[in-house]
Amino acid sequence: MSDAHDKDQELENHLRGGSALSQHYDAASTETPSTELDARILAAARRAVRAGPAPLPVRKKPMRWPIPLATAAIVVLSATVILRLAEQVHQPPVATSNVAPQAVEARRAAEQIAPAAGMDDRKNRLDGKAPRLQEEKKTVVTVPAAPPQNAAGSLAQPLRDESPSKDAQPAQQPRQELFKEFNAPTVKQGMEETLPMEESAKMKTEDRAAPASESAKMEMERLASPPPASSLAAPRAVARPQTSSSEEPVVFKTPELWLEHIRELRKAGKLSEAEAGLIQFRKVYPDYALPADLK
Amino acid sequence: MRTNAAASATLADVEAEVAADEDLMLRYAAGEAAAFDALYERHKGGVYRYLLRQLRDQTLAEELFQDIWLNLINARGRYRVRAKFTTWLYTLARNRLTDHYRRQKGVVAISFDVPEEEEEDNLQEPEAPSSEQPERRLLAQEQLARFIALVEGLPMAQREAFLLHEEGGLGIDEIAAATGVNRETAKSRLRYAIAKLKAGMDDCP
Repeated sequence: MSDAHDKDQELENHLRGGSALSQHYDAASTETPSTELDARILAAARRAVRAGPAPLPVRKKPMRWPIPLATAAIVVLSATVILRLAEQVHQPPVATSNVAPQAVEARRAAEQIAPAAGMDDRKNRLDGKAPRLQEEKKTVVTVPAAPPQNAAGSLAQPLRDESPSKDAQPAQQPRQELFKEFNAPTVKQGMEETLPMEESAKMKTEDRAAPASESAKMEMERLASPPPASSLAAPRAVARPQTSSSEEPVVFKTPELWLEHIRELRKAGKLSEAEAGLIQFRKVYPDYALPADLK
Repeated sequence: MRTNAAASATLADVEAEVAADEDLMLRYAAGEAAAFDALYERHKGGVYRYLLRQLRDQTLAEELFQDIWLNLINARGRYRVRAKFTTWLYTLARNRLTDHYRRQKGVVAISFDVPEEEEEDNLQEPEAPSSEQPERRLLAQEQLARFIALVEGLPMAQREAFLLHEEGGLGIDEIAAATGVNRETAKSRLRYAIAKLKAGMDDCP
C-alpha cells in the first residue's frame, strides 16, 4: 500500500517537473534534426503558403457518387422486378378468359362424340384434300398456341414464351396428362409420325413464339368462327386412332382401352378401321406386347 | 516541451505558451509563414527525439520527422483549436509511427498495449550500445548514454508515455488522448516507466 503510494507520489513529483529523471533526460537528449532537413521542411511550409490558402478538407470525389448510384440502381431494379411480377400476375386471367373456355367446350364436344368414328373420313381428308391442308398448314403455322387477349401487350408475349404459359395451360394440359398416362417412350416422335401434316405443324407452332400482331389477329378470326375440332384437340392427337366424320378426337386414356376399342371395331365388322387402328397403335406403342387375339 | 516542465514555470506560463502554439498554428493556416517557423523551432527537437528514441535509427527518424511536418503543413486547413497543439502534433507523430510499424510488420514486433503483467517482468536493464561503452567516454557522458539506453530499453508503451511527457510536455490526460487509452492506463504506463528508469539509474555505479 505504501509502495503504491510512494509510486504515485513519485509520479506526481515527476509530472510537476524538475525531477532528477527529467533533468537527466534533458541533459542527455540533445539530438536535433539536421539543418538540411530543417531547410527542406521550412521551404515546404513557405511553398504551401505561397500556393494559396490552406486547402479546405475536401471529401474524396469517389465517396460522393457510389451511394446515390447504388441507391438509384436498387430503385430501378426493384421497380423493374415489381412491374414484371405485376404483369405476370395480371396476364393469366385475361388470356385464359378467351381461350380456355373454348378449349374446354371443344374437349367436351369431342368427348360426347361416339368413339366409333370412321377412319375413311380421315383418310379421305388426307388423300383428297391435300392441297387445302397444305394451305391450312401455311396459315396455321403463324397462329400462336394461345393468342394474347390484346395483341398490343408487348410484354405479355415474351413472358408466355419463357415460362410454362398459364394461358396455354388448359389446352396443353390434356396432352401432358395423356403423355403421362400412356407412358409412351417416344411420345412426341410417334405423335408426329402419326399426326396429319397440318396438326403436326400446329403442334410445332404451339411451341414457338409468334409475332403478336398478325398472329393474334388471325387467331381472333379463327376463334370467331366455329372452331374445327382438329385445331383444338391437336395436343390430344396422340391417342386418336380414329376420328369421327367431324374430326372429333377420341381419347383413350390407356393402351388397353384403345385395344378394346379395336376389338369392338372388329366385332362390328369394321375390319379396315380396326386394322388401321392397330397399325396406328403399333406406331405409338411399338414395344407394347399385343394380345394374341389382335396379333 | 521541456521548458513547460521546468520547475519555475507556472501554470499560467504553460497556458500562455499553449495558447501561443495554437495561435501560431492558426496564423500559419491563415497564410503567415513566419508563424510556422516559430512553431517548428519550438517543437522540432521534441518530435525528432521522440521518433529517434522509438526508432533508434537516425535516418528513419529523419524520414518520419519530415513526413510528420509535411502532414501538418497539408492539414493546416483542418486545424481547429480543440486541444493543446502539442497533443495534436504528437498524435500526428504517433500515427505516422504506427503507420511505419504496420508497414514493417514482421520486422518489428510492436504492441503499444503491453499488459501490466508483462510490464512487471520487464525490469531488467538493457545493455548499452557498443558505441556508448564507458571505456570510451567520460563518466558523465557514460551516465547520460546509459540513461538514454534505459529509456530506449523500456517497453514500447511505457517509453512512449515517458517521451510524450518529456519531449512533448503532455500531462496524463494528453498522453491518454494522444495514445488512445484511458487515463488510468496512461498513468500506469508513465508510473512504471519512471520506476524502471529510477531502478536502472540506482544500479549505476
